[in-house]
Amino acid sequence: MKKLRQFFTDTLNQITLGRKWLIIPMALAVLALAYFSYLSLAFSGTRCTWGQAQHGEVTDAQSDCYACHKKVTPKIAQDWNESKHGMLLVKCYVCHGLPDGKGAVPFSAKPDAKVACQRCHAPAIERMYTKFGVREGCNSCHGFHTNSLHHDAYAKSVSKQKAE
Amino acid sequence: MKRYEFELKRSSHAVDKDKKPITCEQCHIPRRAGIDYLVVKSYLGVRDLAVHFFGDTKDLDRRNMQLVARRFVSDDNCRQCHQDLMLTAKGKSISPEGKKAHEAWLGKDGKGRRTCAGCHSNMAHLPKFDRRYAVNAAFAAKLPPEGE
Ligand code: HEC
Ligand code: HEC
Ligand code: HEC
Ligand code: HEC
Ligand code: HEC
Ligand code: HEC
Ligand code: HEC
Repeated sequence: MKKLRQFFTDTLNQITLGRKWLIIPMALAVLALAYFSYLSLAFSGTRCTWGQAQHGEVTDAQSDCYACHKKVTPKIAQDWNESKHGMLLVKCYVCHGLPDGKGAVPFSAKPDAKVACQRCHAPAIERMYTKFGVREGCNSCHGFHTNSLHHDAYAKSVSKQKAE
Repeated sequence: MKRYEFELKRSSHAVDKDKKPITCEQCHIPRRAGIDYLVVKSYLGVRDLAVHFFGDTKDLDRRNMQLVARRFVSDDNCRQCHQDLMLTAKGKSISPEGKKAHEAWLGKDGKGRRTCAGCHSNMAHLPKFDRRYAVNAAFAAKLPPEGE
């Protein structure tokens, strides 16, 4: 025990007395750490996008996702409506599930693209994989890094974009 | 900067209730003179300087800037002017969808984690790529078709 204490005071002395200047960068590092952790906690990167919103009590209108979401998330609803999925009525709950969790698809604000898309697009995804290999992050090619999946990936496929 | 003033003057947020022009910092800089104010102000300040000295104008991608700006727009600022979330900006009672959304924000009904600006985008600015949305039609009509 004594030895341990001796060791601590010795190293502390070495750091603080032996090399006084060291305390300045150390203090700066602690301050910087505090600063950036506050910044990322109080203003987290996801604070305006998706959350764990729940829909509250279930109403009769619950299944008409589009009608309500046209007002709640107007951009997402319009993107969907103009996309092929909208035109062909691949509805919100096909990918997102029902908010009360009773449907076959579990409710999720960020459905796993691999699972959600595989059901209908398995051949296309296979073709993609043979062309490009398995790649994570569908958004790098289908453009939902700034928009969600609802946007340009549906409006224009990659090949059509190049032709322009 | 000119472009932002131009857009702001044509937005729904050109003037406040007393017809006084609304300024940038009323939305962008946290109001409470506390730690939020210091942290955001210094972070955005250093960022601005870095872009000013080391960036080039091509970096000013408004899609990315929107995400950064949205992240730092404080809800308290919006609520300085919009205290009662059950009323519209004109003081009428809000639509049922709005009520549901705001109850989620207030934590009464479910737990919304989105911020005001997360749902209400394009309140003061309207880049070209956001003009096609039906919600922005009135704002877009006030801006000249050219420009970004
Ligand atoms: C083809 C499948 C599909 C359909 C149909 C679909 N979505 Fe999505 N949605 C997704 C995926 C995948 C994500 C996750 C995107 C991401 O990771 O950015 C998502 C994300 C979202 C988000 C969160 C995004 C954010 O940034 O806040 C909302 C809200 C949403 N969808 C609402 C809807 C609504 C409303 C409809 C119907 C009008 C709908 N979705 C239809 C696949 C779909
Ligand atoms: C319920 C089945 C279904 C699911 C699930 C589904 N899609 Fe689709 N998707 C379709 C149909 C139908 C079309 C139209 C195909 C066509 O026109 O040839 C389509 C078209 C597309 C297109 C082409 C759009 C274009 O303009 O060419 C893309 C990209 C796409 N889907 C991506 C996705 C992604 C990503 C997911 C997973 C988040 C997904 N889809 C989930 C049914 C589905
Ligand atoms: C390397 C870029 C790239 C990545 C990463 C990528 N895709 Fe694709 N995707 C493409 C291209 C290119 C096509 C058109 C392929 C073809 O039809 O020959 C395509 C086609 C598709 C289609 C079919 C569209 C149609 O017109 O029928 C779907 C669905 C799809 N991708 C979903 C996904 C999903 C889900 C992921 C993530 C697991 C993903 N993509 C990742 C490039 C990519
Ligand atoms: C300085 C006071 C002020 C601040 C700060 C402010 N607003 Fe407003 N807002 C107004 C006024 C005044 C109107 C009414 C405009 C009108 O009469 O049409 C308004 C209108 C609105 C509307 C309805 C009109 C529309 O364009 O859809 C929404 C939504 C809104 N504000 C959201 C916000 C959000 C979100 C913020 C925070 C980023 C915010 N406001 C910050 C004063 C303010
Ligand atoms: C979950 C999404 C969501 C969030 C978060 C949200 N709102 Fe709203 N807000 C709505 C919807 C939906 C409406 C109703 C729009 C309609 O009826 O067309 C609305 C309406 C409004 C209106 C009235 C608009 C008008 O037409 O006059 C104001 C003002 C407003 N919100 C301010 C705020 C403020 C301030 C915050 C942050 C405290 C906030 N909102 C957070 C979704 C949201
Ligand atoms: C009565 C209006 C209403 C209906 C109907 C409705 N929603 Fe929502 N939805 C909301 C509100 C309000 C939010 C909260 C948004 C927030 O806080 O970010 C929301 C959020 C979401 C989100 C994002 C969750 C998150 O954590 O950000 C998804 C995904 C979603 N809804 C899907 C659906 C689907 C799928 C349906 C149809 C089965 C549906 N909604 C029907 C009002 C509705
Ligand atoms: C009503 C509140 C409000 C006022 C006033 C306001 N802003 Fe914004 N600003 C926002 C919000 C919210 C965003 C996030 C992007 C969006 O949702 O449109 C934003 C985004 C931005 C962006 C980055 C995104 C883009 O469109 O390029 C810049 C830069 C910006 N604001 C500068 C300014 C300047 C300069 C002024 C003063 C002339 C100003 N803002 C006044 C609310 C406001």
